[in-house]
Amino acid sequence: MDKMTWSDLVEFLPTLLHGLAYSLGISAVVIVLSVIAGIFVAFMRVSRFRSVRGPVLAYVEFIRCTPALVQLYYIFYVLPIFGITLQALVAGIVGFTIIYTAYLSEVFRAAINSVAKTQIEAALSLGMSPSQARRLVIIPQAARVALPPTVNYLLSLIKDTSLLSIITIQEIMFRGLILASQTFKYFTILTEIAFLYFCVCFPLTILARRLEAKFERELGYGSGPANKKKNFFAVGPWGGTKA
Amino acid sequence: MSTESIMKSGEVLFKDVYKDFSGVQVLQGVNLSIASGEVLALLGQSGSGKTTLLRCVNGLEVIQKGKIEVGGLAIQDPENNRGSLSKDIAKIRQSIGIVFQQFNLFPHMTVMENVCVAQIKVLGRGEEEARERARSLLDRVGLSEKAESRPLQLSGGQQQRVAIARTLAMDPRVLLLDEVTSSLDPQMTNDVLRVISDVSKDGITLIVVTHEMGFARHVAKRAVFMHEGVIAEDAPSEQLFENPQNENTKKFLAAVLSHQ
Repeated sequence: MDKMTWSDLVEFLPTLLHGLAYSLGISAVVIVLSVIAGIFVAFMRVSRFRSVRGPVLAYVEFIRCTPALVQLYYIFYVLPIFGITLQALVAGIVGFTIIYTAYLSEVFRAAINSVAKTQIEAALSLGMSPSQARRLVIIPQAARVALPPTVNYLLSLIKDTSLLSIITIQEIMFRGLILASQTFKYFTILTEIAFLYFCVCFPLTILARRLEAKFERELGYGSGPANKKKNFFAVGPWGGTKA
Repeated sequence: MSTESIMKSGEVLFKDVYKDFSGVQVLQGVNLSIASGEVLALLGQSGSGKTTLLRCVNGLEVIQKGKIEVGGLAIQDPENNRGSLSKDIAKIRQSIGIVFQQFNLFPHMTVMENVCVAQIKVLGRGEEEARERARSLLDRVGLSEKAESRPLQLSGGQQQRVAIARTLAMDPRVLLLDEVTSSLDPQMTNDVLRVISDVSKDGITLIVVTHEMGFARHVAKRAVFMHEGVIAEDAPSEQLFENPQNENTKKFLAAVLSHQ
């Protein structure tokens, strides 16, 4: 095993940070595209028309039930056989957008369904058009339900971008492995990579938890004077006041 | 966008209305005509079809047969209109307010925003005008100091009064009240009934589904008793309460009044 030294850590850091920037940049582009596409797919999933729902359901389930690694290989190595050749970066972004659109559409569909039917009735009764009801009443409420799980998906997306190393994208894992194969300092480099991922991802888990608590308070799912629900484990059997 | 109502009056007409929920007949030929500005109490046991009838007026329920007109406009006319609901349904609904048993305020908005959103987005009023109107209505329902609260910080009775203000802000010709006090305790019920009693003097057509017999009698000049999807009795409320003619009305009143 190689001995971990500060000088090595510092020496490898710029290369790894460069790779990390790549990972984060790709994640940012993918999450934005996936959220937008995911909203459309989610509304198609709850459509009244089976001809709209059916194909979308097939897409979502196909993606959810095959590994991301296989899908990425497919896009980068198999599609060229059929004459569709994408640059590695484009293939990566397209691939992950297809994958995360499917994942997020499920989150958004559940969130849309969580908005009570009576809310839609109230909106329509005030003379709003269906699209106004969607924009002003359903989406703002569904967004509060969907945001915490979306942050969690962003978290797994950031980690999943390490898969892009296999299609030659120079993200952190790719650069790290090249460094390691040149220096044989696998212990140092992989530890440093793990630490860098952790530094980015851990704050996101805290953000997700905070958002969840905030929106629960606002929409009254579980708190507020209207329907107070205490968590037994947080409060303890003697009903402490600190939640 | 104009804030002018497309309705000439608040007259409500039901012509031989039939409605079933997947095979279960709920309305079985309802004929009823309510004059503009009239205050009508709609009574009946659970399952008699009164809430369904109310919800048909603004098209939240779709009928299978017959015709419903409000202010001379056909809201539902399944025999002559393929989609059943009028194409102008959104425009028509601006002038038909409804208050629900469960309030259905928008939880992601403040009280002020709840009362303003449809004024601005649907009627096209300016923000300041809408807020001004909202302030005066919140004052009228006794909640001006709650304007910046969120609905879930309010009691049920307060939420219901906000819901009434939200509906009145649209200047409706017709106001539908669907068991608006059924999920409130007696003190809150009184607060809400006081507001409705006040609103009943505005000249808005009021259709009130309620189990509060004392209130129905006090606020409505006319009462209609529904039984098994048809109108069993239709009379001035004084007469319907004092001297009911229909056997089912008698049974219902005896049961309800002995309970209160």
